[in-house]
Amino acid sequence: MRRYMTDPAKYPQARFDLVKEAVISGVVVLVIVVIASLAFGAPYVKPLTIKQVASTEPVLFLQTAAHELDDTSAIAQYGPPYNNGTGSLQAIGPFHPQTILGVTFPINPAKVDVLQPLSMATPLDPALKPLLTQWDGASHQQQAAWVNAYLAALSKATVRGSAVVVPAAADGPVPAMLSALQALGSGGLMSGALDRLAPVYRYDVAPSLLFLQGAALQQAAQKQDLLGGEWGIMHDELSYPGPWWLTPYSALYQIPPYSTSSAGDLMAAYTMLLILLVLLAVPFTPGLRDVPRKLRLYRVIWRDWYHGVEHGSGASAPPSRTDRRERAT
Amino acid sequence: MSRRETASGNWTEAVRRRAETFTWDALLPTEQPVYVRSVVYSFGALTLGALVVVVASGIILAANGPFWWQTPGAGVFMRGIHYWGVQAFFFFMILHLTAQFFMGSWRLGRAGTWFLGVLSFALSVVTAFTGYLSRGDFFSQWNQVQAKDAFNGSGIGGWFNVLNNGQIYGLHIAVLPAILIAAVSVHLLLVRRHGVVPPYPADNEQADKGVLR
Repeated sequence: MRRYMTDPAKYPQARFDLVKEAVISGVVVLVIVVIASLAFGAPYVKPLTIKQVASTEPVLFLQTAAHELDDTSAIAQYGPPYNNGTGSLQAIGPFHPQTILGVTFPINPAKVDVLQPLSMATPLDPALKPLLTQWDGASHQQQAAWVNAYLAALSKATVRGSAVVVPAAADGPVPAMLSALQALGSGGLMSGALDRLAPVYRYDVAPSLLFLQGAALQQAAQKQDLLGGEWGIMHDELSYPGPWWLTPYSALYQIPPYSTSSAGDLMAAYTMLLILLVLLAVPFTPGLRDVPRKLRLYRVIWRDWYHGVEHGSGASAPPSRTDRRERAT
Repeated sequence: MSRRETASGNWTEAVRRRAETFTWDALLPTEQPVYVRSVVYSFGALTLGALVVVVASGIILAANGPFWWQTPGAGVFMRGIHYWGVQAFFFFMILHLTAQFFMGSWRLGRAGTWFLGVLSFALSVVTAFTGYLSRGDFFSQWNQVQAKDAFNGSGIGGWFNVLNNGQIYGLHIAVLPAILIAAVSVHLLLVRRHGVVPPYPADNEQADKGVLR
């Protein structure tokens, strides 16, 4: 019986030009890519700005700002890495890796999103100064009562374009403060006032994105069917292919417990890590590493070779001895 | 010669000896075993071709800056090249990975090659994701605020801040490509060093099981 050889060099050889193959592959890909780019361009949807929200969704803007002001927004209660809250803390029993690194990017939404921009605007509008003094001098209970009264009144507000008329209520300085903030927003000055974590080079846009991240971005995303439960992240490209290689990851979000648990992100991330480890370990996993041998799909890929071996034709003739034996001698 | 020098010499000699095995003929062979004859053997080369297109277009994008690639004209065209290059890269890489699985390409001492291939795939997913965040449009914003929960929940959000465009862009254009290119380079050297995996035995496969791992 003919024996099996393990060294490719012991098999019959044929001429092969790697440089030619590399050049042809590169040119083929380049041609496909240039044609696709010329024909279809690249996906792009204008970013959402705070100015846009303040001008076209003024009530939403004011609600967001009011919740930031009295620390009842999602970010104010989020948890690590922004603060010590528990609102968005993901845990499976005692396992909550979110807390391991702690609060590494501290954000105080009331200060960063509302009080600081207003304070910066006082040279332009000196009337803001007494309002801020009144807010700072009040107790937490008083501040919360003002914001609650304001939110109740805001739900009955009338809107004319970007102007919001809020009925009178026991809401202290809040309506005037937030009206000034909206003016700052609709004027296009607010994101510049928010993204100030670094003194000059402002690459970190966490404050402005965290201001938009709740209702404003959510509503805009919903209009484009981009929510997680709608395969959001992988079909996010209009009519473009999008990152389809994330299909297994996106699929997890469509099924329980990933789609229903408050720790869905945590479970999905570690499930993908597990799948990666399984893929890495294929060569060492009995059963899994035998799948291709049992499926015999390799017979299709190497069909010319097997044809030669089984019908004894020309250059494809099988080797007659093992290189193992050669190595031993 | 001191003991320390001997040890040092052995180490450097070992590297040199290993380097000597990579002759030009080994790196750019003029012959291949006759079983290397199928369209699946071009998937790896096409993946590499796409990677070259992605890196080259990425260098041009980086040289011109974010405003350029968001402005209609040459910048958007080059972003299109980068985008479709990434699509081609993943398309051919997944074909390559699938074909190599069905060929059992980790056999006969090639586990390291498989390992680095899978690792390169995982690195590519993360690299491409940071690219989506760097585009600077609504998708970037939405993916940033969505991804922050995934990164925070899994425990790396305390370091990997997807809301910090500076960090994400640096990871996308320097750190991750450097690691990816290193992994792909060693992957290729291992492919050349071990040669293309031979087909499973044609006859009596069960009896040959012992040499197939």
